[in-house]
Amino acid sequence: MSWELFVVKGTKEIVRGFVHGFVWGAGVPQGVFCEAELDLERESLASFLKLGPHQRLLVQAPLADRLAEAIAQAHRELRLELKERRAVVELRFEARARVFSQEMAEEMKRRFFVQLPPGIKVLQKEEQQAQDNSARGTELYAPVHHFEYRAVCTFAGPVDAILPFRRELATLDFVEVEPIRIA
Amino acid sequence: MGRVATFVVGVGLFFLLPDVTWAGEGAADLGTALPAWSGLPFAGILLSIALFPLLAPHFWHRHYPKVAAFWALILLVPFVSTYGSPAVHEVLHMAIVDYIPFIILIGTLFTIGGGIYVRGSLRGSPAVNAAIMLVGTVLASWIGTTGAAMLLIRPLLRANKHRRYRAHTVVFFIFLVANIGGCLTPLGDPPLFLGFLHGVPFFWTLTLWKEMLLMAAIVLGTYIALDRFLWSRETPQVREKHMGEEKLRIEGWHNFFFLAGVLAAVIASGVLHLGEVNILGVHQHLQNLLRDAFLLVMFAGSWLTTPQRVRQENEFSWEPIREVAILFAGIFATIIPPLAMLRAGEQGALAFIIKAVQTPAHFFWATGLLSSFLDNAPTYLTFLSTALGRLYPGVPERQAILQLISENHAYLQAIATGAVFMGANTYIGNAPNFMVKSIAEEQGVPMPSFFGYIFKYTLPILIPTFVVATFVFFA
Repeated sequence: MSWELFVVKGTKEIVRGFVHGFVWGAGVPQGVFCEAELDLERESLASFLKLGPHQRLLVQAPLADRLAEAIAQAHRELRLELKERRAVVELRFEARARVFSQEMAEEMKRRFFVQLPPGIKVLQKEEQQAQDNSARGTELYAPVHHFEYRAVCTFAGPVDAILPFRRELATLDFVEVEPIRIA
Repeated sequence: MGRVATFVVGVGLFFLLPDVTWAGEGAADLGTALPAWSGLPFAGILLSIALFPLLAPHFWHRHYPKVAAFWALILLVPFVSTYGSPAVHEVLHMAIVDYIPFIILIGTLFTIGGGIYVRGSLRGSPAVNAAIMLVGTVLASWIGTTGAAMLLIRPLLRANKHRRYRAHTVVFFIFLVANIGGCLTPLGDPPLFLGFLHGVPFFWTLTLWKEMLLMAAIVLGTYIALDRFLWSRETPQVREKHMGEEKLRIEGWHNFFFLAGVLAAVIASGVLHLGEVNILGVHQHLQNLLRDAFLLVMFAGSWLTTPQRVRQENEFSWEPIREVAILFAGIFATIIPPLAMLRAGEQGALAFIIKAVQTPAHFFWATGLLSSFLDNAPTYLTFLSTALGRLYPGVPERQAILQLISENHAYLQAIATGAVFMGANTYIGNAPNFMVKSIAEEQGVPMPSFFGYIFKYTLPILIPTFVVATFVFFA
């Protein structure tokens, strides 16, 4: 399924309400994602500070024309305006893991590199594994983990695959996920 | 090279003391003669212990003996060179009366505690978790906060291994078992044992039961409420009733007899008066020497009679004792000038501290806040000396402590509870905190970061409780 990015001028609440009404009316509840439901990378200082009047939407391609038309029709009453529209090639995000046992490191490697959902690829990866046997056992004043595994990865893939995958990684302990970039 | 240069400059500074004519009349005079910045090596070693594990953990892990030696030498070389035999006497006094007994007690408790292993697993329900916390809180005063934490953290983690929400349990375990629980006897927490070595009667700490009860009740009550809420959010599979895979049992239980021996020896040394002996010019009570000898027998007994398998299960090693022995050698060496200056009261160079800290509430918060970031044992001694310098300047320490207890009880209560309780405020406030964090992370518990711990737990839970304690006990 291909997707499009819409940049809509309008307040967040009105855009969200409008989109919810639209997707339920269209019978495709998962057809459009609003910026507030995603964790999109900020593109400007205004959007970073959440001051901007523009909302970004991810729209399933088959719904895109109908949504564009609906926004145009709502312009007078709701002051909504479609400012930008383009195809989404893929989504990307970075994830970091840092664990302190061999067992957890194997689990992370499996999640990050072995059991990737179809369509998702690893664009960049950095792995570090260190073992310090002198740090084994209990320590009070100079505590260092005797084993440490770190990984930083950039994942890329289609919208349908990336969103659930990122959501799953975000629930894991010891994993931090960065905001989504639209490519 | 840079450190060598700093060392040379430090030594040089001491030799350039302005207008100091040393008469060599004893510790009280030493306290009035020393300049304020002779306390800098003490601040330096405490800050090193606090900051290096956070900022450069691998460097610290490898080089902490050198760092401790650096701070000790930068003080001792010029101190002894400048002040001669009184300085040597102070150093020997600190070593014979404080350092060696302290290390013997900590080493013995650690060896005995490391010989007890709780096998088996429980179900990590709110009731079971609260029961483990309660047992740990009570035990901490008798086997030390480190011993109790080492004994119970693994059973607690095993009980909760299936749960999604575990970090809060480990944090509250740090609050209660690794800190608050240790306030009832001098065996509970190193600051209280130092107080005992300096003349605070063994049973005096039992008078802190009200403070401990209030703190433990509020913190444990908060934990139970939070854990019940998070338990309700666990999956049905986790909440299903099962008693764990293995029956609960204690291995190495005979070590409790050695523990009783330690307790008896320490109490006896506080009650008996068998005279004094002179060791290298330092007067030491005979009963203290006998106590230390007996503790070494308990230590050897535990080591020889406990199967190595039990110690392996506890991941027992000598590293923690090596750390304590090395770092406290540095602490005890560098603390000599600050303690002497504080005991000199308003005649000493640290008079500004004595003037600033006046009421029991001040002592509670000043001792506590510094104990949150620096090691609580030397912080306790520092503020005990501050109180003595403020209220009984020039009076011999043991006599001054007894007067403090009979006339100004609340000051000592404030210092003791501030040092013990507020060690829980950060990971670096008390030695077992970091140990528990480290063990939990290796078992897969995502512990909060240094600041996450403070903002998510200390500020909303501990600080309001300390405010309540201030109004109830020290206002």
